Amino acid sequence: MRRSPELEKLTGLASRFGAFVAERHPLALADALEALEAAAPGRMPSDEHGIDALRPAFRRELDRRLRARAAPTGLPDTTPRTTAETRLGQAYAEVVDACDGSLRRAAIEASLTSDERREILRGMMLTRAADNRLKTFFAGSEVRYGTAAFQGKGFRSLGQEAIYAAAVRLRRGGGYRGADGDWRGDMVAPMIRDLGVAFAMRHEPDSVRMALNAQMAKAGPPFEGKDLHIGDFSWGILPPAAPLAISTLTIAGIAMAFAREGSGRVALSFIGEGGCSLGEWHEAINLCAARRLPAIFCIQNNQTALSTPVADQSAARVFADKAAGYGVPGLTVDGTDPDQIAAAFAWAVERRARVPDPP
Amino acid sequence: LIELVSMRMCGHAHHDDMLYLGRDPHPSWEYPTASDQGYVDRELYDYWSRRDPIATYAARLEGEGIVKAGELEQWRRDAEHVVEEQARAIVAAPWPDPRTAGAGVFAGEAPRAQIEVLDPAIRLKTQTEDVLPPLEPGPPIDLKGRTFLDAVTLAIGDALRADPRVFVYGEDVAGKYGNAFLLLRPLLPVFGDRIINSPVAESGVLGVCIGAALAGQRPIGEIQFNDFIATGFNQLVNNAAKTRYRWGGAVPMVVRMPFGGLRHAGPYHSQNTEPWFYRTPGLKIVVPSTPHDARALFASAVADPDPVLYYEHIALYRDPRIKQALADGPPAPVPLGRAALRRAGGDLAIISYGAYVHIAMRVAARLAADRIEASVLDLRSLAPLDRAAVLAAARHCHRVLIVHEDSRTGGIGESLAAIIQEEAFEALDAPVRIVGALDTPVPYSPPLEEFFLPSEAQVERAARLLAEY
Repeated sequence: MRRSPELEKLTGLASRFGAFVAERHPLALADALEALEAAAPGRMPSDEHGIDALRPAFRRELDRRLRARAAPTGLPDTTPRTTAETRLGQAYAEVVDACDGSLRRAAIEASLTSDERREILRGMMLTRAADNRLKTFFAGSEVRYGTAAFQGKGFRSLGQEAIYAAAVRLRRGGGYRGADGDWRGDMVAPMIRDLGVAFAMRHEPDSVRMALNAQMAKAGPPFEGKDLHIGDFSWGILPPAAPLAISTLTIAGIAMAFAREGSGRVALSFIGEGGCSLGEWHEAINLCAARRLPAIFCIQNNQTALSTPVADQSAARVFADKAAGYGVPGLTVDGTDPDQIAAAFAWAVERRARVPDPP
Repeated sequence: LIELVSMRMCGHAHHDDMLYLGRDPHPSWEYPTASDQGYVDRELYDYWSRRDPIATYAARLEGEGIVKAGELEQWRRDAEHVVEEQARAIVAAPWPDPRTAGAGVFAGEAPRAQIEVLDPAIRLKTQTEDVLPPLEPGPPIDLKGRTFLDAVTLAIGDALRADPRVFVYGEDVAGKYGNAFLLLRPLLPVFGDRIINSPVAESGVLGVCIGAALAGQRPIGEIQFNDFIATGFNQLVNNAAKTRYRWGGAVPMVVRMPFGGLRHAGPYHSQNTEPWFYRTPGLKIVVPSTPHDARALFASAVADPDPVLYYEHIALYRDPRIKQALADGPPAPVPLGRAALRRAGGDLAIISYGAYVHIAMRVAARLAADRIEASVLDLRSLAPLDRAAVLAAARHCHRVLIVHEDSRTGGIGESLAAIIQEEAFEALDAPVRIVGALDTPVPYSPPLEEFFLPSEAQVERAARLLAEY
């Protein structure tokens, strides 16, 4: 007996899954929910193994349902040299892959350990404590240059601390530093407001020192008073720059190097919904996609680019829609939910590992 | 592409908190409240106020028993303690040594500092430095030798062969093509997997080179025609040039810049963009004028730990008049920052670079027929500039003619003239003369371009008038 998803109140896995499909491929919602139900009749699993176990059946079920919607004959090529049959096949494969990705992310989320989740919470708290201290520096006059107080600039991340979770499954930490200070792990390129992701790459007091010191302009590595941004290349954190997409393109080059090494390392770019209006951001994601470079792009839509609201920035419905133009998968995640963020980035990294080289 | 939706719950920076929230918030574990005086969208702000990631995640983990009672409070204190300890250390930490502001533009150079050139101690010492650098004519012209284009191809082959970290990245370089001048085509059968097409995106070409260089590769970027560098300006001047200075990152990359006019190619395939970058600290600029130097300077550019713009004059590519015999194997590298004295003479010094070195040489030969002996100094590198050679030539010859293809205003010539008058004033017997192109875009039609560019006749007339001055 097939249940009608329109009438059923979804819970657990099916609920989250349904929300993803409704956002990304809304016209496939009914098929996708039916396929999920068919793959896991009765109780939905909630553990990693159980969710992963139902994915092959789910893919078959969804693919069968989509293909059952036979197209009428007599359609001309949809674009020159592409038949309607080919095009529909591509679209079905894309939907199946996207929906399966949602399940895989749910499996990863279920696999997050207590230690990982405790670390994320503590990391977010460290981020807020550091931000608060920047505010204290600004309000007070502890640091003086000559007779004047030097207050710093106070770029803070209030509300965006969950970005810490993006890094929990990356190759990070002291184990990836060579004796010569060479970094052998993954590379992140945060914006100045992505303090959390920097702390996640180096979760220790020296990292706090680096971030506060940079804005307070004192002597000390790696900026030595010359720049105020966060970052520490020898721990896999590329310092950002005020021309925002500078680091996006640098990440593209780092991804090129990782691809040439064949090391399996990945490079991650972070930018805001304002910064992704820059031409350089477009050039970066476009060229990485064209060469299938091991790069992951994140847009933090925090509603405000300095003072400019989202509607003045872009006509895109959601910023993840931009992905389609580059031929890469895109998804939109609640940026205040660390579990979902951790799963999204871990999924992107493992998915990246399966992408074949360009022909 | 992962989009994370959240909301910034503070101003853009400290100064903006008041404008954003309508009040200046105190540091707190909770979000501040916004007032109607701020520019923040109150409805949005209220929605996101209920979604503090720390509060909601803490509640979730407590609910699941992953965080025990009291731990949260302990963690808060721990975080504040760590941060406070570091903040105190920062308050106590020294300011940077002011002199370090001059350090770290390039690897291995002495810190830059202001020098008072009229300080008698410096003045008296430098005024005697008037010996011409050694004559360095280079291999003789050999009509059976290699062209400038051959030399660049050989140079890139040398680099690819010597170091597996080297790769070429640019527009139309790969596949069966081998760049707009087919310069790379001979290398494709052997190094096809390391000669990589970029999309039509100059920022992308440069950004990829910068990132790859930071990650340990040795990229050779190609800007198809140097005019197109304008769309990659930010990556050069704000990224490549500043990375070492900002945080010590090494960007060992070479950007090939086919440039120059004399070919009736119009306003977008002929420009001289080298002065755009001449005044950008952190970029090196080399401009070889001969096949031998093209290959030998390239070797140094690839080996250099900093970004190098390598300008190759398109009009020289297939000019049979400058062909030279080149060795099979890689040449001894010519160090960056060293000019070459192509001809020695005491009556005037002609200083040039690129294609106009050959015009200067032809003019000098004609002057010699009238017993006017000119030195010709080929700068080869614009940054670092061989100031010692420029000043020695000025002091030795007492008359200086600077010739370049670039428009005059704000170009290398005016910069050299400023250096010479400031530091070799006593040696001069005549005004420093600059011959350059008109201050207009490069026109397309042959008679227009000829009128725009400095002609050989113009250079000769300027030289004769200067010698007679």
